[in-house]
Amino acid sequence: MRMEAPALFAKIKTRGSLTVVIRPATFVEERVPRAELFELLSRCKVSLRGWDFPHVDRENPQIDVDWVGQAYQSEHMLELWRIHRSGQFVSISGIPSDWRDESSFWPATKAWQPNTVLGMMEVIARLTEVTEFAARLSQTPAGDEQMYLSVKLGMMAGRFLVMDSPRRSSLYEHRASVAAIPVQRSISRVDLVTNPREIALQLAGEVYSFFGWAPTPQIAHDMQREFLSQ
Amino acid sequence: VQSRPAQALDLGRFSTRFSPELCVTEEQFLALISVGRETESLEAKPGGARSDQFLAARVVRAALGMANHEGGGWIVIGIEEEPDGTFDLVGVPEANLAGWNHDDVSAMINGCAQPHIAVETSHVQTDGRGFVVVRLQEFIDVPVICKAQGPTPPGDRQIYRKDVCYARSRRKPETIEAMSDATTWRTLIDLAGNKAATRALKLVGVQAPAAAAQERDAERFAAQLGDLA
Repeated sequence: MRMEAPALFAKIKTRGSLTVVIRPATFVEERVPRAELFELLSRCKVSLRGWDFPHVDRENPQIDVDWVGQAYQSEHMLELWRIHRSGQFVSISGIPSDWRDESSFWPATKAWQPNTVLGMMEVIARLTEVTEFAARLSQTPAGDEQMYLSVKLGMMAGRFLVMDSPRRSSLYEHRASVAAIPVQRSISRVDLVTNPREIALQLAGEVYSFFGWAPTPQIAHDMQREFLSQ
Repeated sequence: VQSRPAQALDLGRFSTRFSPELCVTEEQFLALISVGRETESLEAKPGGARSDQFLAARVVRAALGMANHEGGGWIVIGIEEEPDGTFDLVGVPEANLAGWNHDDVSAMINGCAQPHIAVETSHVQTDGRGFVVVRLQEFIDVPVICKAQGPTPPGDRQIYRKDVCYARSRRKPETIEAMSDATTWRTLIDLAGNKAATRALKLVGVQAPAAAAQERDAERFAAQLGDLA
């Protein structure tokens, strides 16, 4: 369901959120012609688990002076994104598990509460999509030799990091005490294109560190492989 | 057994953060050694006593090298190396662990280092075995020089020498005399030069041109995001 961006933005911000910013290091105001923005974005979107990142509805993107974008909710998936002519991309999405009360595919149980958990696999999966998308974007006119990637998780305080894979378990309790989890990187296009999955694991490691969890590289790799093989 | 309060450790970037209260947890320790062999920033030593002058001297030599390595490094005591370079996690015998306490390890290393090296020592237990993890911070202003003469094992070379600058080799994971390898020496000079240049620019209140331009660009990008930021 397409929605008005301000309304969806306000809705997303009432619960846990993920803000992703990907941009070239250098500001060039009109790096991409307006007419090419939507097509460029559509070519770069990533579909690793059935739901694409960013989610692109082929019809009626919102077109503004220097950006195009969309705002969309489907079940527990809420996302709005924009791509600017400068090459700057921003996506703001809800934490899927926070919106189970609006989902028929993944309905809330009696014990369910929003803003209580963040899935370990969800983190790796989303960041793998993000870095893959960033790698693709970096190779378009919206990209540059050096790219900047920022991920910010909001409304995290008191939230538990939980294992959301039925094949795995987590022995210890990991809980965030900070409200926002920011992770930023400046990455060369070469590194991004040649190693997006490794970069995703590094970013995930930084997110996990806010919960006091430090998986071994082997565990992180295994989790990523598990997600990619689904 | 953890000797200090737990604090989150950024495992993705071992080399860039340091806290005087840093403690390595078992989970972090296993991540640290999961590579299974020595690296530029990780050196393994067997779990002998600190009173073993040759073992202690080898730890000092490794520490001098790590301090001159970008991002510093780690020494883990309690690991034997197999002939193929892989790790055998033997551990440090209980009787030897106490000798590898933070104060004594720091004093031992800094008794041979000029200028001072930031050292942090943690004891970690895993699978019933104890290990000592020594974190060395990268030098702050100028490369670290050895200021003492080390012992010479029978039939071997002197482990460290006064007035020598040690570094981690770019060719294989070992500590070498920095000037013995052109690439290693150039890397160290570059690192020291960059620090000196940054200090000089800060002193005169000037940002490096590239940094200033990046900051301007970041502000323009941020302005574009407006209420979405």
